[in-house]
Amino acid sequence: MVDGFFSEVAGRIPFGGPGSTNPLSFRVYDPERMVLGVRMKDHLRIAVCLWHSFNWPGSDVFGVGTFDRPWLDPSLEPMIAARAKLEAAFEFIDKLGVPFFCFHDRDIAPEGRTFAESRANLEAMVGEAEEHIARCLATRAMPPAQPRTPIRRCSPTRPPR
Amino acid sequence: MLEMTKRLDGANYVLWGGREGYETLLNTDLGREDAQFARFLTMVAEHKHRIGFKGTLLIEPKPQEPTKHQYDYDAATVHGFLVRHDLDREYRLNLEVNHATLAGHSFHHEVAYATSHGIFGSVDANRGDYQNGWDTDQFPNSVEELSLAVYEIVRSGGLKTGGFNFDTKLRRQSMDRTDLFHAHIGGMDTLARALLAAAAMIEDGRLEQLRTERYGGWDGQLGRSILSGDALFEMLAGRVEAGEIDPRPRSGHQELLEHVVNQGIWSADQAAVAQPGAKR
Repeated sequence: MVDGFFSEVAGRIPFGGPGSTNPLSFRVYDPERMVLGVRMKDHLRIAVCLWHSFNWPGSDVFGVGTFDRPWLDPSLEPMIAARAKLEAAFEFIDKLGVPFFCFHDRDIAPEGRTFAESRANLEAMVGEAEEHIARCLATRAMPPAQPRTPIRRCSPTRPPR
Repeated sequence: MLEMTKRLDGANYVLWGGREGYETLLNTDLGREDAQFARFLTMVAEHKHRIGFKGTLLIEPKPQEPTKHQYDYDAATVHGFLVRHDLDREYRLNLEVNHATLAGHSFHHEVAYATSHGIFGSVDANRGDYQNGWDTDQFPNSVEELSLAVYEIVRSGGLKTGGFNFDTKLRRQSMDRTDLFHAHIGGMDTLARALLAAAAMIEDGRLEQLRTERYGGWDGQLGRSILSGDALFEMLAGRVEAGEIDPRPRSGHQELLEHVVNQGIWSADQAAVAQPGAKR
C-alpha cells in the first residue's frame, strides 16, 4: 500500500465495531458481513469521487481554496500535478478500502492547447490509472475483470471561451 | 471519454446535465433544445454500441443550478423525455439525494419512481440542507433519510452496475488531510446502517404485505375486467345501480406503516451491536 500524502492514516481503515473509539475505524460498515445473503460491500458498491474530493480546492464565490491540495498549485507543470493528484487519490481509495471510483475527464488529465493534446493527456493519465488499479487489485486479491469504475463526466467538456 | 471508460472496464457512464438547461427563455427555443438534446443522447448510445462499451449509460436528474432551469428536472421528467425519444432502453438514472430535495421531492420518492418504472441505475449519495435550498453536497449522515431509499433499491433487486458514489464536498473549514477519511467513514457507516434497517424491513415483511393488500381488490374478477379494458363506464354504472358493487373504504394504515419503518431502523441499531465483525 502506497504511503505518501495521507501518511497520518496507517494502512487500511479497519472495522472497529459499534463501540470503537478509534475515529479512523468503521462502526457499522463491515464489507464481508452478509446481509440478506449478499456481502455488504456488494449491496452498497461504494465509490469515491475525484472531482469534489481531489480536484476542488475548497473555494467558494467569496474566497479562494482552503484545502491542502498541493497538486492544484497552478505553478506546477500540469501533467506532473495530474500524476500527484491521481497518486494521492488512489492512496486514499486503497486506505478507505472502497471498490470503485468516479471521475470526470478533466479530474484526471489537464486540458491541452488543442483538442489532440487534451486527448493525449487523457490517454496518458488513463494509462496511469490502469497501473494504480492493477496495484490496488494485487494487494486486495480482487478479480481484475470485475467492473470497477463507474465513470461520469461533465458536459460540455470545455468551458465557454 | 467513452473509449477511456471502456479501457478502464468502467461499469457506468453518467451524462451529468448541469448545462442542459436554459438561463433565459428569451433566447431559447424549447422545441429545438429538446430535439437536439435527444439527438446528442442518441449519438452517444449509438457510439457506445459501435465501440462495444458494455457499461450502463446514465442521466442524472437535477432541477437547476448552474442553469436556471434544467431539462433533466427529476426522475419522472427524464423518464418522459426518454420514452418520447425512444431512448428508455438505452439510459437509466443516476439519482442524487440533494438533487431530489432541490426538485421538491424526497430521495425516497425519486428512487421509488425509478425502481417502479425500471429505470433505476445508480446513486450519488449525499445530502442537502433543508433550510437553504442549495446543492450543498454534504456527506450523508441520516439513516432515516436513506433507509427507505435503500429499502426500495434492495426490494427491487439491488444495484446492478450502479453504486453509491460519494458526490460529496467537505466544508471549507475541514482542512486536515484526515477530514476526508472522517467524512467518508461517517458516510459509509450511515449507508451500512441504512442497509441493515432496509434488510430488517424486508425480513419483517409487513410493509410489503400491507402494500400488496391495498391493491388486493384489483386481483378479483371486477378489478381484472377494469384493468384489461373489458369493463365500460356504462356497464360499471349499471352494476352499481343494481347493488352489485358496493366498495367500502379501508384504512391506509399510514401511522402503523411509519412505526413499522421506525422499528426497522431501531432494530438496525441492535443488529449493529449484535454482530460486530461477524463472518469476517
